[in-house]
Amino acid sequence: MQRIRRFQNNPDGATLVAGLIRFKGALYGTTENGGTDGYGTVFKVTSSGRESALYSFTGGSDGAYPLGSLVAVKGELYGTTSSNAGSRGAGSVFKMTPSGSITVLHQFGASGDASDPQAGLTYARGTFYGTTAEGGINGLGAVFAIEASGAESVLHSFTEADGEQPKDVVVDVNGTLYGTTQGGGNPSQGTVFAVTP
Amino acid sequence: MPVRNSVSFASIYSFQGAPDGSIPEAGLIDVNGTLYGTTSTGGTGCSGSGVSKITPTAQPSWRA
Repeated sequence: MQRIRRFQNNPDGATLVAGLIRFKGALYGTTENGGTDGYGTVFKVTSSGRESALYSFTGGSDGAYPLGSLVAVKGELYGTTSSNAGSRGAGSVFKMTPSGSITVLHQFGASGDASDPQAGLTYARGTFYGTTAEGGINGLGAVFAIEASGAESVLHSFTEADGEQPKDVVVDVNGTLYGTTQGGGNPSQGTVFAVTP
Repeated sequence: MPVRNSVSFASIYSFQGAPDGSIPEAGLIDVNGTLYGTTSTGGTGCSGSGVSKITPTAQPSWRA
């Protein structure tokens, strides 16, 4: 094992929660904290250890504290942030060019909307899907869909009976999305769910 | 933030704590149509985690 890069809190970012993806010959990832404003970053690192902080989240409409991996689709990177400055919950979905130019596709947190994504996105048949640990009409978490245009919809709001607090990505199997919740179900030990959009 | 109503949702398994485990912290992976995952605690003796698998059919079967 050889360390190829040691991060500095600013500007690189700190707290590497999510994994890396390989994209255009380099590795891309997110940090939960650190960066210019302390709200996390998106970074790029080459196999030789040359690292660039591509973007520092501001905690505003772009969100704060990304916890998930990125997904690369048609030459752009897509990801989530879990929160906004000064709050737990809400967060955003963003897309980013390889050079670090960001577009916010959706801000979570409207009444009944999903809130607090703690994982990245899954891309299937032209649409992105994800889970949030909070939000939905019951505040227990949700499964959402979002188009590259930014049009977002809630596919499912969890109830105590069918699951609470999904915190990871869904996996697509033949058009059905499968995932887990950390709580809920009977006897509140977590569940496996299936959503067919 | 429209709610999409034409969505089919199913809670296909509730972890029981023992012997199958509880509190899955991570997601699932698909291996040729069978899903595999982990639980963070529970299982026999409640001392650790387990690996489970599910075959997504009308009657899912779990093997903990």
